[in-house]
Amino acid sequence: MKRDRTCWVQMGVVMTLVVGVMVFPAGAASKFPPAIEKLIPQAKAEGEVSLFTGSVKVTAKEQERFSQAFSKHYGIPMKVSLAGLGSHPEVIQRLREESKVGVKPAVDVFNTAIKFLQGLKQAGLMEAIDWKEFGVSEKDIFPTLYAVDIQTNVRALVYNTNLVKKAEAPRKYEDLLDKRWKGKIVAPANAQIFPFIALIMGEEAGINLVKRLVEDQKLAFTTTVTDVAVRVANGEFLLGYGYSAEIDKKRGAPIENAPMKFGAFRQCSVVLKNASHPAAGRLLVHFVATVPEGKKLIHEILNWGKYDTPGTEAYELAQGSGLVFAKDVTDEIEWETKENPRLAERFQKVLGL
Amino acid sequence: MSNGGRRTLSDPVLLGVGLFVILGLVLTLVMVVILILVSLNKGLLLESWVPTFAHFRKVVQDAKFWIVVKNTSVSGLGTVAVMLAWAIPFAWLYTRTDLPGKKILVAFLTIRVAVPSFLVALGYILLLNPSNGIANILVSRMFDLDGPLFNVYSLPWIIFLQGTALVTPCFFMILPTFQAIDAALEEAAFASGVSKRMTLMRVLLPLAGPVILSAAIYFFIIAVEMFDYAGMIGLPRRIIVFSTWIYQLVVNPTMDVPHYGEAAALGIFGVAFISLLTVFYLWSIRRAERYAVVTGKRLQQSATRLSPRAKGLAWAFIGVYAAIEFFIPVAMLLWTSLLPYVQAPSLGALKQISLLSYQEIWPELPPLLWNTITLMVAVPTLAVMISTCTAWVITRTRLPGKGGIEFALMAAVAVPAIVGALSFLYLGLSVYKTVPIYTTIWLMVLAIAAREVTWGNRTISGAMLQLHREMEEACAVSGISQGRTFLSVVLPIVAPALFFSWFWLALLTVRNLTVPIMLVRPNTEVLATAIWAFNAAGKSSYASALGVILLLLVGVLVTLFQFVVRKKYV
Repeated sequence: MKRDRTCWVQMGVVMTLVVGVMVFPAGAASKFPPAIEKLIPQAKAEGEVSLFTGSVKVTAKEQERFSQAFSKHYGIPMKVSLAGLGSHPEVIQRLREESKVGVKPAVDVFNTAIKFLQGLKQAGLMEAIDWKEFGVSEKDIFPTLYAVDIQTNVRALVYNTNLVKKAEAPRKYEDLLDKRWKGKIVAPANAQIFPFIALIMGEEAGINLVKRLVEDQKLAFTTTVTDVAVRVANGEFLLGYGYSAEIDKKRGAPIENAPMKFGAFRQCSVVLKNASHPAAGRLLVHFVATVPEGKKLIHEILNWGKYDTPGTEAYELAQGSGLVFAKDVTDEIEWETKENPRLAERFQKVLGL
Repeated sequence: MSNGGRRTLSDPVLLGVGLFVILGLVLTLVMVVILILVSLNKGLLLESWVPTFAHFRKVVQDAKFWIVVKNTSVSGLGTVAVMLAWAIPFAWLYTRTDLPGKKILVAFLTIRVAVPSFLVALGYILLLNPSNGIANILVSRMFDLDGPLFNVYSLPWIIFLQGTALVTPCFFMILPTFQAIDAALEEAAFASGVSKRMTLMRVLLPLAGPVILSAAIYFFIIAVEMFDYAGMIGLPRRIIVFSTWIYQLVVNPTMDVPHYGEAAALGIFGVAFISLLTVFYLWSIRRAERYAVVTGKRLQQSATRLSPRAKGLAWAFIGVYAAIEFFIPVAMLLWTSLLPYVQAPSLGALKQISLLSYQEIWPELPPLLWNTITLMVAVPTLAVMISTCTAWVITRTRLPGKGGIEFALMAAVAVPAIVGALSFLYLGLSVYKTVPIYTTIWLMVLAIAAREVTWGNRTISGAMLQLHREMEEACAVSGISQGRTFLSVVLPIVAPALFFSWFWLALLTVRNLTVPIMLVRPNTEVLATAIWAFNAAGKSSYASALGVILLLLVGVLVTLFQFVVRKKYV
């Protein structure tokens, strides 16, 4: 009798183990890399994390949605703030000054262009992190900048679809010199966006093109990049350079990207030194760089797409007419940190701004 | 210690006045001193100190320097002329006539303050752009014209719209003076057979002369710094002025850091120019006592009676202003708040109307309103307290060096707002370890108050200049201390000016963007920064919906203001 009972107990244990393995196949091996596993309890203790989103402000509802997805993925409660604090140069300047007197940075994770990251690194403002440990793909890592590529920023040319047929839209930059576009093209009054034309056409051809756009085509200017889309969508201008169509298309505006090759650059995330929530910051970068749900959310909420993330505008443009990155033609960091500012100075003179 | 010094220390009121004057000077001098340091330093101020004149060289050698000087001078002078052409008649109609329903004028003037200027500029672009401006299309159809009749992208339009936008603050600056002028002077003129027009030109305007001149100088400086119209209307056709140049240097730098050094160097030129104007102003009010019209024998105020025709003309004048500065901006704000993206009115647009943006921004409101109301109450209270003390010292005492106080307050306003905000950022960082104000909203309070003290000082000084010395002399003869005279005699008489100043500074505070944008942290966001950030993110409908909330907030403030005016000053 006693032997029978032992036998039943043994069978019960075996059955439980079998069912357990069938129901929880990942139970034996975690779905996270060990470095992430280690971070999760620390991040849980921190409880919140923030990401710098430039000048882009998102609503409390959108932040709540992001927080819920993040919390669900890592199984810990987490409040994620998406903080639009202002223009990148100004906020970086503040971070540099604040670090001198020991003020903790206002955000944990900073997402910006490579040229700004170089400045942050020189000022000693970023954590030296080996992102490989966290399972981030090697092609997305800038080891010298401790940064992870999470966003592709496209300097596109948009047109008003009510006033310009797709077949008539420009197919190359030289088409902008057609007299039908005279007085009908608008761009931001920001010389930094024009070097991306040089990336495609070459320096002298780019400078000459912009010179003719200013002198012959009476290129008009707006104060902000987003205002380009506003002016094209309401039909005041037919073409707009420097901004892509995705956000306004989603809202039903009659705007589309021209079928041509565009210059693009990568925006990368780093965890700031002395951040208030360093572990949660690392998890956040992991979430938006490697987790499909995270990639989807930053695209839906912040409109941050990436050239290799299907379903985003950047992906479609890369697969379609094509995107040209600095890394395709030269050393990317060199171009971003030295060539781009030099070219911007040259374009500034041509633009007369 | 001198007798005067001993008297000040023993009189707690005078001691308090002294402390507020010192605080005002510290706040304004912080901006000027840091402006100078930034303009002379090669790198970031807290990182290194490498003196250089390179920023000045670069600015002066820039090909656009003289073009900017010319454009800015024309724009500044034109703006002031347009502003005074509206504001003086409004102040006269409001304070000195029996125009029926004139209180509505204050509502028109104040509500407009809540509408973000970039939306007003955008409204006029939709209306008057040469490509598809609604007014151009209508006029072309009606008169069969070949080309557009209006082109908003021109300096005259910038001047007109800037000047019209400045009417409200100018009105509030000159209003107390117009109110304080003794009606007996007009009555004497009428009794002598002088016409109403001649009385206005020969009696009222000369009496209000110092404050009008003061307002002209002050708003010339403000006009030079105005960005929204110059940016949105001037930049498309490369009409560059001082403010757009600064914007390019700080917000769109060609390098990875803002060119604060060059912006500060431009600011130094501004301060130098304003210093000359201030010397001229101080010289012009040296004989201010000749303008003193409020005596101890104040008579009951009586209004100038307007004929029915004059009333009609007055309302037509107010109506044109209301259309330009009230109905079009407010309609634009409401329209954009209901649409997913900015578009001109059409049947297609009407089909897209919804309240979605209001639903989306609703959860944003509690912290934004809390921070905004904190600023709205704290800033004008501090600024008016400081301004009252500085104005009294400048206009009612014989303190040696009081001209220096006036000069410092005036010079401070010439510091570009961006650089001024940067100064407070440095101030906050410098004292962070002992006074951790940097991460709180109180740094914003100090920074905005510092910029508003100049306006408060100008307005309250204007009212105090109207007081005749005989009242203080009578107090002195009766053995009443100077502090008691200040509290019990001077303050009650200038109370309307203090009240108007507080109200107007509260309005200015809720829409101030430049300072908060430089100092904002995630926990100190206010309505103005949220409106700006939503717009920068391409979410113009959310920005406009918040603008409507701001409009309601200003509406509440205006109602309270009207209530208090009715209770206390009518």
